[in-house]
Amino acid sequence: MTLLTVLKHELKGMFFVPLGWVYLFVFILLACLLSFTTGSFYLLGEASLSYPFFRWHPLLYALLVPAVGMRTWTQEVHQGTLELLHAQPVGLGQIAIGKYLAGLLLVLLGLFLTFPMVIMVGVLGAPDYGEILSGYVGSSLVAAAFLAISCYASARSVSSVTAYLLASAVCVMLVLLGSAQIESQLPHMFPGSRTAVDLLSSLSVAPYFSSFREGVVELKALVYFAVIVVLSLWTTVRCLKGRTA
Amino acid sequence: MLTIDSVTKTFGSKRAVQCLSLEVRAGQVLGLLGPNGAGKSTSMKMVSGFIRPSSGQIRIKDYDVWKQPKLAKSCLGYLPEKAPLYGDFTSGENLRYIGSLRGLRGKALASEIDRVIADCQLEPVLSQLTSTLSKGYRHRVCLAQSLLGDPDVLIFDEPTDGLDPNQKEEIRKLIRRIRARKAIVVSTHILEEVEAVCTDVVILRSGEKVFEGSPTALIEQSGGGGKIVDAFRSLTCDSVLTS
Repeated sequence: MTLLTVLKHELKGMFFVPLGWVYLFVFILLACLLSFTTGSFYLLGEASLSYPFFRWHPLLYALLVPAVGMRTWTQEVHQGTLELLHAQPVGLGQIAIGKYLAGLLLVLLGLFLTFPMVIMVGVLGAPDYGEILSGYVGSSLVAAAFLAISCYASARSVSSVTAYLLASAVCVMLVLLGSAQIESQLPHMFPGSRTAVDLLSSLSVAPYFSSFREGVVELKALVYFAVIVVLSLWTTVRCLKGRTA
Repeated sequence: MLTIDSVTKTFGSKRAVQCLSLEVRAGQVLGLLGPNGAGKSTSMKMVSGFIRPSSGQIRIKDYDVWKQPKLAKSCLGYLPEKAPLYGDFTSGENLRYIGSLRGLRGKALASEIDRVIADCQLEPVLSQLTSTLSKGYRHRVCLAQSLLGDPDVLIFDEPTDGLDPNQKEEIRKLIRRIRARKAIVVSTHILEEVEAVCTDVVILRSGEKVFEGSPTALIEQSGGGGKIVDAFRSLTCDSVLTS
């Protein structure tokens, strides 16, 4: 019940600010705009969303999702309400999960509202709906991972701007590590250290998300995203408890 | 009901609170006095679970604040120093949120909210965003949230700070009305508070307890002045600064 209480409170706050409305508008606008411009939706001549639509999602999330998560804890510190929360008979873990789920609901709502793209591609051709569904699942997981990172950045930071920059930098790095340009440069950046190159390459969201875009749901991809979410939320709670020391 | 046992808090090399021990029973209103930086708010924050003591133990009704936090905090009502509230929400929404976090649901939550609204006279500002409230009303909304669930131990950090004389008197009346059943700690630097509501006084200076007793015993320390302010000054004034 505590979880639900926090979730409702956070959602209400998001749409009052009105961060929620702005996020939804900007995400849907950019997701669709990129599909038809850089994504070359019409030029490809395929009834598919894999390349033109889903391809941009990790980068979009890396820039927009930190805006959803940045206020999660900095606002509590700024208002002084973190002190009030500490005095209540509830675990910080429940509050952290409630806040995270509220942000996730907003982000997933944004993704859901792109459904006209699916209708359109269905009208224009005969798409593989399994592949589209898989793409949506993968996209949701990337958003979930980036939001968890943003919540952690918010718990670590004093101001929302710092939290945004910190989370955005980490998320963009996770996206860029999978790009061909960076991947080809890594052996030169770490000469003689194959382990470091492999480790950095394995951190990227790109290969895991690519499999979802192609309609393949891999266990290692699910584990990858689950590890990021659980680790980020766990460190968020540890960080908040550390503030009391 | 509230036991603070040999609690020390250090921030780096600075000792904010040194080996503080207190016991507050039902019916007692303990006034925690001291000049700025004496360690009053740090002590309050340790009782509320916001700051972890470096050593020592704090128990609320036999529950250790750090080992059994949920049980301990379910018996605690806390009014922080700056009366923090969610500015994007109305007074009523703030009360509903904190009440829900305290485990109140449905009719129990509604009746508790009605009770604290009446106690703190919040009817006129119930639908108003707390970011637009006056300082006095902010304090009263925050005070009201601390009373939700009728906790046995109440910690008020500067409860009348920023209130006008009428509002101060209302808060004092409220404390006098509920004190028979509760252990109350009032941290303040307003000395008139002590005579108005406190049954016991503890004075801190540089984190150390320099006086513990009744308000009458404190006045006796004034050296014939007959005023609490004289006793307070004699116990807390730095001789280097006053000379």
